[in-house]
Amino acid sequence: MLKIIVPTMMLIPLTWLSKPSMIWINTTAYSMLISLIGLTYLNQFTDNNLNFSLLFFTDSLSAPLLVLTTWLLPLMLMASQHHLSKETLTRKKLYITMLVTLQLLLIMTFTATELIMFYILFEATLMPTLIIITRWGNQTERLNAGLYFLFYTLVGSLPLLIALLWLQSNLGTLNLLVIQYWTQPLLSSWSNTLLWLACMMAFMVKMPLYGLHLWLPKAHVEAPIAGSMVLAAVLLKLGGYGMMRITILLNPLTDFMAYPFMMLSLWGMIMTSSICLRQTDLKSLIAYSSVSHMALVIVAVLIQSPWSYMGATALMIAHGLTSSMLFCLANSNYERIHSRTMILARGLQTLLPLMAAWWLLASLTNLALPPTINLVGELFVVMASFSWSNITIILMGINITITALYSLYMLITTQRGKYTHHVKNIKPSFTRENSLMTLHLLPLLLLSLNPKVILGPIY
Amino acid sequence: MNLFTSSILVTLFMLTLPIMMANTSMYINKLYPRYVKTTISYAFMISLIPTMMFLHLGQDTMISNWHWITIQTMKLSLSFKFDYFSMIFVPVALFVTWSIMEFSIWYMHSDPYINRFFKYLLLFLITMMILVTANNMFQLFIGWEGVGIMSFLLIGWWYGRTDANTAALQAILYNRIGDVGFIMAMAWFLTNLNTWDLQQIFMTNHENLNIPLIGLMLAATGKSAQFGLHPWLPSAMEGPTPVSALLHSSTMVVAGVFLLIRFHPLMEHNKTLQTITLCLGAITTLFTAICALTQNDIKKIVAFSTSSQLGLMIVTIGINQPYLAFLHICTHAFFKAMLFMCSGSIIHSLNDEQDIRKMGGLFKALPFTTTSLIVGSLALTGMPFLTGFYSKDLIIETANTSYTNAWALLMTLVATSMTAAYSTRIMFFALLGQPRFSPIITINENDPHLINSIKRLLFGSIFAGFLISYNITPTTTPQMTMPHYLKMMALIVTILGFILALELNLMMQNLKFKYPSGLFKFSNMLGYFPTIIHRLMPKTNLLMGQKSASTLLDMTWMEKILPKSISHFQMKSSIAVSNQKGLIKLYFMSFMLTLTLSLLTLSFHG
Repeated sequence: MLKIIVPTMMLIPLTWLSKPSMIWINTTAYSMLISLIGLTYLNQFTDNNLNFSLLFFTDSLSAPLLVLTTWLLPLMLMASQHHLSKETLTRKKLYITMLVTLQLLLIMTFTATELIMFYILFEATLMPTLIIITRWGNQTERLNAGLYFLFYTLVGSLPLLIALLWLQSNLGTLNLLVIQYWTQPLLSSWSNTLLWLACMMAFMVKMPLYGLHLWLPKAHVEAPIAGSMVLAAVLLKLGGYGMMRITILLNPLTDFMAYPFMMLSLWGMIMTSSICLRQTDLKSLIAYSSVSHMALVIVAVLIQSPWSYMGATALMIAHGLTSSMLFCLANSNYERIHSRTMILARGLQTLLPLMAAWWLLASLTNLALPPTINLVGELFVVMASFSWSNITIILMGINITITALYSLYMLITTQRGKYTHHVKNIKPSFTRENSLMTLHLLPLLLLSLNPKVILGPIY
Repeated sequence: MNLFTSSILVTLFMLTLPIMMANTSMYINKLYPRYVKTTISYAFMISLIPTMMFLHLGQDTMISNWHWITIQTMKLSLSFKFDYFSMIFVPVALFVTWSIMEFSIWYMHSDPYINRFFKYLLLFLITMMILVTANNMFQLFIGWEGVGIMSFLLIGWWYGRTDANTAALQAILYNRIGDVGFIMAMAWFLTNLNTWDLQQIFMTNHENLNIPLIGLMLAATGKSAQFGLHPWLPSAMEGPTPVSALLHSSTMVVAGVFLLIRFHPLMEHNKTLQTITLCLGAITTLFTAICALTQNDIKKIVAFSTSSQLGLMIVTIGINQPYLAFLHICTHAFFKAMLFMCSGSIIHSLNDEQDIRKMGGLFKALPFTTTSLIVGSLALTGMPFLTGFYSKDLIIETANTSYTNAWALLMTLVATSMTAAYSTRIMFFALLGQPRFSPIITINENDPHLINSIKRLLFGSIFAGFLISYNITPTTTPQMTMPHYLKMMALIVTILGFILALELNLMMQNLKFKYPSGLFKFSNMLGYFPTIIHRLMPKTNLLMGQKSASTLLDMTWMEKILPKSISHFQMKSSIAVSNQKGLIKLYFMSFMLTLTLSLLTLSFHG
């Protein structure tokens, strides 16, 4: 594990000691190399897991998320270049340092063996994210967004700490590898219900569950591009990852406790999708679409069948790449139009045809076109929920339809139609941007060829 | 036997070559469209080899090449099924596409992105081939969604136009509703039969197949534009004419019917579903025929006639004759594609004029197009010994002699008669009589690309029905004996339709147009369907999205309940509990007063 953690740490001195012209290139190239090291973890040759030390391990659930995290750092660096071009050198370096720190913490969160360590790192990721949002966001509302982000997640996760402490004193260990053999069945009682809630709410807020999602659109809209990318791609997945890890402690109570959350998610995904249909703000639309997709993951994790777990894992990876790509595209529009309002950026296909191709592919993956892994994820979740209860297909069906609608609505509004006069002298798309989109799409397409690696431990 | 699979795989593989070439300098070459066209023609010729072999030997083949993934107990692999349906359909589709590609070279020659257009058409063809030859539901779904997305891209080809974008979105919306049905069927098969392989699904006996069949039915309704989900098909005419000819008449829209044909073994014994199918088909065929009667846009008329024919195919499935429905798919492809190409020729010649009231007298100016249009229309109405006759006549006969829902039968007959009526209307207004178009237009149809492509389909419209029905073995025993009037029924209603329409047109031509009647408005306004469904539903849904989901819940209640209320209570309680009021002046004043008072008292004390 150190062979990822140490190089990532060394990215910080690299940033500070590089020549001013080289800071972006050096960090991007080296972080890309680090992500290539991480790729080997996808090859889980044993059924169990890879133990690196007493502190770190990966299995087929965390490995794809780990790779996604490391893959995303170079992409974030590439995406932020223009955004930071007017800042001073020190601030640029500080920004990169923040991103690297965040990545470091995320890597350790995904590979932590101890639940308490997982918890500490889980909370620690808040800090760099908060700094990125509130320091480098574009508008004054960023402070409010940062406040929402911090308080929602903190309030949600503090009970988890207490629950973990209780579990530690009760079970004697919080080691994820051992705990699954030591866990006691959680029978239905008031205190156990509270324990269940304490354990799950932290992740539900992080996902976010419909009703507790207010921080997400705000944070997404106000965050700078790298912040949005990492939020959508990885931080939300911490919730899903945590839920999947902690549910082994909570059985069989989950069967009973799941109902209200299932209802909220199923209902919420339709509500958030229909909010998407009315959004005028591009980033807000993508943020709400994340909420709607994550609701599927919540449903899948709560159903707890093999198919649903596979679907949830696949969907998390697929959504991570897709939404991150959509945010990049939104940002490339924003850098040209200087507004997030969709109607100001219409008809761009005429001017930026290659960008239109990226938009098309991103929208198609967002609406889960077969055979992309988005479809694999969604299809598995739908299958699992159908076998859980046949009626859910109605809600799922409505959601599938609306998802297609708003994805294409977004595509049509930004790319099709007549272009407006104020966009006549915009810059062409840069190679940096095109390669950024390619690096998002390539994993999506390649994983479609072999989705096995992201189907998680149940596969 | 090796030649069979290898040649069919060569056919499929060849089609991907121009797509791969899109990365090379070939793609920026002017000759790319011709390259695509030639590739398809070669693919057609090669595909004849396996088809001939199939006709000769009658042997189904199934090949599994590449193992994609095994999930628990279910194996998914790349698997092709070359049976009766796919082996006949592949050459037909390739032949029609070949002609349409050649036609597009002429029709789209001034488009700056003609190469991209050809790439899209070819991609569509590939997805269609995937759909037809798929052996498991997942692969079928890839093709199924693929044709939907390609139809979105092609309808919205002229993306500067709002109408085109709306129509494209509409097509996706209706198709997506159908897809939900498909996914439901997949989910049911997975939960109950634990397989998506077609053979395994058909092998398993299950007493109650209503849920998956309703799902498949919904899928077919969406894709094949059956009543309820039909409005997207006429709207799709916003796309370029070659697109209408390929996607929205001959290939993509029959995918729904094809799906029902594929899954017919499940439907065979399910009477409920058959009745539903029959009624749905009958309503569709009648309703769209009624709509076609009063349209003035030439492409809209042809589009509605497509819808009506799709209804007829669904009726055929409803009377348990999937093979006949399939025969009608094949024959219909020829003349319907040609009808669209003829209208494309007219539209192009008249400077993008689509209104049949502004045509007239084209038989002099466009003799070849006129000939083809008339042959196509006659084939459509089921004129004996033209292509349409071999399937349509058989369908009506079989329907007449089967013990089935007489109401549905009557509807179908009325629709058949109307087919003749609106065909007459096109011929009468567009081709005959005096010219009503602008005299300065120079009309020229003598382009080899146009002539050759239409000519090929013209021969198809005359002979294909004979060739196909001659070569395939009848799979169900045809009704050998029936009364005269039943035998002649199809022909009689058609002739009746012709004569009535002709008389009416001749009689009414010089009369003053009165204020339109309710019936006319019903037909002309497409049964008020778009007005109701396309205004009310989106409006309520979007309003709900805005008002209740976004404004009420997200921006008001959730803000109020959690963050705002917490901060509010904190503020209030801190104010109530604390002594601090922030009255600095008062504090200082009291401080000063006490200080001075104490000083005074202290000083005077002593």
